[in-house]
Amino acid sequence: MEWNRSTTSYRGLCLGALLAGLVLCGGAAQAATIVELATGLSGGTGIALDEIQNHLYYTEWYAGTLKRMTLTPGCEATSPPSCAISTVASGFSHPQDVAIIPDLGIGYVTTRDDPGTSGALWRVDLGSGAKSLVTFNLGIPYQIALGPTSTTAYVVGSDVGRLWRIDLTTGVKLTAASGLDHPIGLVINADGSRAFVTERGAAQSLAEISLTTGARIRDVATGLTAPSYLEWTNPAQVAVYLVEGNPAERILQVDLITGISAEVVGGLPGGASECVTSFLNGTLYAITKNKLVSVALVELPLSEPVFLGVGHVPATSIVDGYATTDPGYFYQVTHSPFGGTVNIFGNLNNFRALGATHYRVMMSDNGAPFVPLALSWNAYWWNPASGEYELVPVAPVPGDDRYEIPPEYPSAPQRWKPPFLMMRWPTTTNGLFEFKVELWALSGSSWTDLTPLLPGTIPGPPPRPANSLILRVDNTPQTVDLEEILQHGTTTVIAPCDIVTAPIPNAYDFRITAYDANHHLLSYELWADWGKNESMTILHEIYSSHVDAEGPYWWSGAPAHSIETSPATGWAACCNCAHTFYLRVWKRTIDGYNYILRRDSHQSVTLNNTGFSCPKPGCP
Amino acid sequence: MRSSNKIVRWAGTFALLAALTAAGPAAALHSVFLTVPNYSEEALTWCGPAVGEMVMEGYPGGAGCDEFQADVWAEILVHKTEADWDTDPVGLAEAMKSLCPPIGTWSVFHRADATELMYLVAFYMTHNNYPVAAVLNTQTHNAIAAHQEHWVVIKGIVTDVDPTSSSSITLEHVWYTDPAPPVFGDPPVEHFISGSSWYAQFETVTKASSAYTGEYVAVIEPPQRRGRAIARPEVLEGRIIRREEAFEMARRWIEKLEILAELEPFRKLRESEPLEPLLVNPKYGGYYLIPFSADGKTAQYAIAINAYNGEFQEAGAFAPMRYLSEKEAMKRSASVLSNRELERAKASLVFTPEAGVTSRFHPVWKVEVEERALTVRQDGRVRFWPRPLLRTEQPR
Repeated sequence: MEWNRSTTSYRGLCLGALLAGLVLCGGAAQAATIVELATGLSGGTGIALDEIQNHLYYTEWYAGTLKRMTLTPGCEATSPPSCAISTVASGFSHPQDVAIIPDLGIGYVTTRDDPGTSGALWRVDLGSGAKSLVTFNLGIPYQIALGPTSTTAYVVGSDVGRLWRIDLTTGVKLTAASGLDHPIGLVINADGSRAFVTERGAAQSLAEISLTTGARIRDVATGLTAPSYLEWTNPAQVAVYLVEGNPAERILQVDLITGISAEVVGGLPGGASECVTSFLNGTLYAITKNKLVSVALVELPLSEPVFLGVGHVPATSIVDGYATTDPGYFYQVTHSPFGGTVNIFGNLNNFRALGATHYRVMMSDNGAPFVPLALSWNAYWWNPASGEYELVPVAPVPGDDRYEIPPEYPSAPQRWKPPFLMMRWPTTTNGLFEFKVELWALSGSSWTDLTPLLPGTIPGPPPRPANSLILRVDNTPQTVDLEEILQHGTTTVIAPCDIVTAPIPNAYDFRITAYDANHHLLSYELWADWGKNESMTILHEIYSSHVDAEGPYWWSGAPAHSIETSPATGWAACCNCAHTFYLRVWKRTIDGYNYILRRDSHQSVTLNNTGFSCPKPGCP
Repeated sequence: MRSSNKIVRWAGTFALLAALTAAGPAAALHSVFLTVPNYSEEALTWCGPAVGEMVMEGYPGGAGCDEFQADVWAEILVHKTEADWDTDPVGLAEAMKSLCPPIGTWSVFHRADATELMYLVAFYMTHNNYPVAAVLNTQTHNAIAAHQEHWVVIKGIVTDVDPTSSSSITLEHVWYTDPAPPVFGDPPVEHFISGSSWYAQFETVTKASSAYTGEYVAVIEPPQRRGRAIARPEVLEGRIIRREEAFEMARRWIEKLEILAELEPFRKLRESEPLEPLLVNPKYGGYYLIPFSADGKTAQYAIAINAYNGEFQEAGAFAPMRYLSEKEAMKRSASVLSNRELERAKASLVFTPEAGVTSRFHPVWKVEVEERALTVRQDGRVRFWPRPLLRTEQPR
């Protein structure tokens, strides 16, 4: 399957569906490559990841086991995969899910039907495999979500329609929400204020629940197919991966703000139930009835952009380094390279949400190794004390090349003008420049690299990495010259400042140069001015009439000494007067806000051979 | 609503039972046994909610309510008046009134004299046929040290006379369920206990901040009444009878206690085989524990016999378990003790709250060597004795 070629039409479809009360935008997935890590599972159900030890834990429903796969480097790449698997604990009565606290070496497992109970929550020592009961009679528990402090867990009880909040020390459980329709999947947000729950009742939905009041806030999505377990797409928690079981067997990415869903992994083996993401490994792992599989995160679309844009140009409207915006947008360009000084906007809100305190912008000059950009600029910042926007300098951390993300993000980006400005980069030499963002978290004097949280692909076409911005730079001025004014059909030159009288015919051709050796010409126009505000366009050529004329993105215009005859009978003056002929040539190079390269050439002559005096009604 | 309540009365049928006790002449007995479902606590601090759940399902005439234990807990939190308890008496009484109003009401009864309180229990169980929630003690009884109150459900009571016709009665037996089994998640432990043993275990509230401190507490479907239900005190020391004698006494008690065969949890006791008697607390408060097994290995029942006079103390029904032998206990201790220490170590079975033991049927092995001591639980787990043994200070 492919993403719709037109981003606009895809977005339009989804918004239309949203307005109609449907939120699933199916059929728009890229084909992610699924790698089988293990086969022959005995009813795979739950999965959890220890990124520190690189251990993948999973439960088997029929075997009643909790197993551990050790993800040694390269074990996934062998054929067949050779990642070692061991049994951590056994004897569970139909385990449904596993969650772990790696720092403590503890896991938690929900079981469906321990004898005499309606399902239980177990604590497991991941080292020894010793297990102890935390609580029971949970009403067929499914997915576990650990609370913010890891002293509390949340579990959904499907048969009782409840979301339980469980004290992991005492086993005390409170009803965090009730009236759910066969809840299955569950995630809790970072501050513990919201739960998102999949329900397999009539609505087959994803619901948002307030953990403060227990109230159902809204249905984020309905009409799902066998919705199963949930996983945050990343720490920013604006979207979830939702596994759909039989018969869909796929993973959706559901945007929690809009409710828009899109398939990101299709064609999973039968009985898919849960997935987890490892940003350090760049991998999404999914468990199905008989198989454990993986998908590279870089093949999946990011839920939030990294680069927002350059000037007025959205980041995703820049392909192969050229900007192309859509008709109807207030700033419409086609195949424009960049030049001058460009404002590069980044998703500072999301960087904050991912846990970053600082960012660094890395640049590669025409394929050379990436180097950090350490530049300074000024921007306006709202001073709450003065009630005015005040000009302030923006610069990297002293002695470093990382920039602190201002505290106004994410709650008050409006206090910056322009908001989300991440880098102001003065272009110089021509070529293809690629930018990446590094995210950093500073704690004390220790830096933690959070950049792996930014994998993903912009669907395209063509698909391209999300943490990448490529700009084609072209600052070379075009060549412009109104070389000669000629008597039509001859090589007779009318020199500048000549006074032309009868019997010389009132018909002229023009020899011009309106040329860009870099093939990025936007337009050239030749016109004549005379009398009082009298003017007439003689010829006008523009890139939209010559798109890709000389190859992708290329049109060079009129090379040196081109004879322009317009109309075919030669251009004729309207009345006797002094005339100035202007040749104006634009390149497509933009700084994100304007075309920046314009050059003019002109000549003046007096044309007194028309037979009419100026002003002449109806002229031009 | 679930089960209906079943009242079983055996007035005048316990002559033989009474004759077996050393309490003098045979007498006609009065008993009340209620049908109350069993539930274990679903959290380590939830003996109170579990008791509430059981009591509310045990209302007479099938008028009870089937409530989630979590909902009982939530309601207790709403009504709780003493913060130092997980489940305080008012919280439990009010929760039951709120969730499942009885015909009368639920009241907290608290007396400094246990016999006064047990008279009220006997009177109202006879008169109103509601089970009773009682605070057995306020000792820590599991891994949660802060959780102290230990609620149980009294489901049956045997007295010498009808308590509604006399204000002075003898408490012969109590049948209660402990929702806090030694192994969390196991079925609750059934206790059929002599009046003497009941009073030996029934303790006053010891929470310093509680209004009930120094008093025995029960939540009863009332109204107020005065009286006493006495029982002879247990013999706690003396010459220990021989193991063979204990075995024989247990066999005889099983034969004679026809009442046990009538109680559902104990119905298969007679079909089980007694195992080797185990002497518990040999230094003080000793008793013989005679396990009963259907397969000759795992025990599901046990009888506790007073180690000094052979009196019946208690019968229990619990989750199947295998009692560790002394040899096995020593072997388990080898994981902690050196070989040299093992040679000098002595092991004895003990039942004491100090070692975190809350059920007479689940004693632990105490392995002592010089100033060190270990506990070996019946499931094989080895722990150091909760408090170090201190050498007696010697004068210089």
